[in-house]
Amino acid sequence: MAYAAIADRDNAHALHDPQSFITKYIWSQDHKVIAIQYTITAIAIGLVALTLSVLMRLQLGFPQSFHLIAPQNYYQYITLHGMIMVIYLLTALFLGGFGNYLIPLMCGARDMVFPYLNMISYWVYLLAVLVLVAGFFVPGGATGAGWTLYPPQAILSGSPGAKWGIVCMLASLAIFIVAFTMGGLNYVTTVLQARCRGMTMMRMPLSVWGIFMATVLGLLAFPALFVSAIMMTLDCLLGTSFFMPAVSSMGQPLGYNGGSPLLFQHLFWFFGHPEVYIVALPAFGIVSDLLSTHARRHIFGYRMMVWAILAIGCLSFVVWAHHMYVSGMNPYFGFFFATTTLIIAVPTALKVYNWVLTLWRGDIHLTVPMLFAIAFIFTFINGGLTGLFLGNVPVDVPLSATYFVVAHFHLVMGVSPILVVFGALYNWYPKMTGRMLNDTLGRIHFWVTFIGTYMIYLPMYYLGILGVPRRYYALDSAIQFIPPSVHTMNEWISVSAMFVAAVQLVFLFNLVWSFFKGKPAGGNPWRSTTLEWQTPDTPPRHGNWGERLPVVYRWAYDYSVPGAREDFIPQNVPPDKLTPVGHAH
Amino acid sequence: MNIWVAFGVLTVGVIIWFMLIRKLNTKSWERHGSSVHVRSARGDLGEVHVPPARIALWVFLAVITSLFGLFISAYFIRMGHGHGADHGMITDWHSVSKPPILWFNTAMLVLSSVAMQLARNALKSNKRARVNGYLIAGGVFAILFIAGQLIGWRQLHASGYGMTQGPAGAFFYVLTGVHGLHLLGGLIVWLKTVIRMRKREVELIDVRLSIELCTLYWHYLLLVWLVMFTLLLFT
Repeated sequence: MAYAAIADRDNAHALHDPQSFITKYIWSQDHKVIAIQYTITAIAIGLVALTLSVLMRLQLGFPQSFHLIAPQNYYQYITLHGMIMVIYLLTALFLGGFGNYLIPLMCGARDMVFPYLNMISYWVYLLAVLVLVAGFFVPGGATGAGWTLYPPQAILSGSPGAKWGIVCMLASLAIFIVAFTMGGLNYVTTVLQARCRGMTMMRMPLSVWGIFMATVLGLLAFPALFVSAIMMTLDCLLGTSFFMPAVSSMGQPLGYNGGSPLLFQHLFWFFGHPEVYIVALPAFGIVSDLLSTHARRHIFGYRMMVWAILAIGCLSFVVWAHHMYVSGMNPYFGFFFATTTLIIAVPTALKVYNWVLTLWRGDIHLTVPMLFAIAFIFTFINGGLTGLFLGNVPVDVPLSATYFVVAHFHLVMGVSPILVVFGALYNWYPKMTGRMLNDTLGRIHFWVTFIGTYMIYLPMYYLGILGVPRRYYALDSAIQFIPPSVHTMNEWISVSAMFVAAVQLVFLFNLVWSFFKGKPAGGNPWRSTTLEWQTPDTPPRHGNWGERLPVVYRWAYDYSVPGAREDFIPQNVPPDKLTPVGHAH
Repeated sequence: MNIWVAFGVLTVGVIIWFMLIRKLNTKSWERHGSSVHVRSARGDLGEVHVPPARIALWVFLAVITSLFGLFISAYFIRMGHGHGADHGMITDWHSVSKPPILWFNTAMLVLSSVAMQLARNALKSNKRARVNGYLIAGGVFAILFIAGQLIGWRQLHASGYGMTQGPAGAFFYVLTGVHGLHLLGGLIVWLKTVIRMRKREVELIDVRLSIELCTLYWHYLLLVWLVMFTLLLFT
């Protein structure tokens, strides 16, 4: 058994079905249950981050009205909002949630190759979330250093939570990285070793490719955050001077000497930029599958898409310093990073063209997942094109630390991936629960979210070009050059943000209501070709495939094949079982 | 300097990753292709797959290559670019006196690695007692290494270099600490293997993979230590 490949374990009983409620739903080693645990936890902590953004918008839109929001609170909200959204929501949801659910099902495996490690990964992730939340309740409150946690200010007494909040933050990040590494080893090894018969790498759905490559990026990039978290914790607790230069606080010299704050920035962004693609690549992959399925057309340029994912993954490690143009770097250094940054636009643009060409002359079904997928293309182009501005040093310098940057990164790596998350949840919820999500509520959720995010972020570009700085608690009186229109605009943005935040409650209600009252979905409601829709049971049982593992005969995109009776041919249909047109069953 | 170290890390990562990508065209469900030949006392087991644990360990080695590479990169940057050093100011980097026990520790770690390799070799001739002996020796040498490192810490501390007395000392504690923790993690797997081998019903073939992977991990950590030790000695 020890040497038998996972793919050869045809007998489902060898994986002994869990019996009690606890082993089935709490201490579960089943990848599907772990995926749902990850998803629920990520959405729960994401709601905290959403609430924080509402509080920030209340302050920015109506600066005099909310006395509960003190400046230090505002900085805590900013910091935690950013960190939670990027790491604890998006990374965890895409890799821990969708990665766990889709990799074994799409590859035709019974489970991850190390189910026990997978289970531990979730519980350690939960611990990381709890430590993060604990930061709110320690003396001094959570850290307010901004999500980049730049020293020296992150651990100096001027910043909120400089004593214990920052330690909670760093500890939580380190724990998260341990959890991610355990999960990541599983995802990579499962993709490499546990694919079913016939599933070559070049037949894998692009969702799996995106998640796989994002995991590889995460495994190589998260150590940089780990290194900086450890060294900063030591600076904070033991008084070492890795990052801390000689500084005085309130006229008194602190014990630090000679540390390099720039070193932290390099380490942070050596992680931070790949992190953008850790979030984006799974979104790229999943949206490719959504577009193909709901346009009833094969993905355009499959091989190109795979190589684009690989190229983006490699390039993402050599662009990190474009986040540091204003740190006083050598101009040649800046030139190098501007060049690599613009080069990365090439594979990214290829992907956009291919998505659009997939839709071209497709039989487009405007289902809710499809609406989100198309909205993703729009939003990604909007956010991506402004990235070209910010990638160039001379344009970036005046725009740096303005609302232009805020709008850019929210559209490109906040809203775009979250639109895919929504699309994917609408798409795979029927497989997870056996019931459809309510269509009307879904459409309300979609249109308010989609239009609403534009009402929020397009004005921010304008604010940025006016020079409105980000991360300011209030803009009144102190800054002379800001015209009154900015304040009106801020009110508008805040009101829009309330609407968008409120409509997410409709989505949550839909998730819960449909679980009990939703329309039964059947095994394959979207008439998809990929393996997860061909399971004998819906939701799939432990071991996924019943007695026999599936065998794959074709790629994942046989939609509207000329001459075929149905407009889709599942991956596991052998060539001799194809029913030609007009052939009676 | 710093940028080149970063690229060095990157290159190593990419190389390891390419070793993985070579597997992209393999068919994981097929019995030939990427397979190893296993023989045991009970006869030829035939060709089998590369076990998932082996792949996972290689991926993990890529992860910790990135980790140690970045630590070493940070070491160089902090050494060369202490605040103000770019502008002709004197850096605050002062080399610390290395405790002589580090040489003894290095010898222990080499012996540990050799013993693990001998255990692995003994697997092939199927000599259970020898495998057991070398395996335990390998672990004991590793424990001696860690104990020696702790003594080294005490000696360094006693000679006046605490965490806060300059970056060289602080890096010494951090680098050796992280390396030691990784070795401790390996020792947990080693301990589980040793306990399993004490059971009668556990055949040699059942622990073969654990021993092979421990050996690989031990060699890797020896390599990391040699790189780090050289670095610490000369700076």
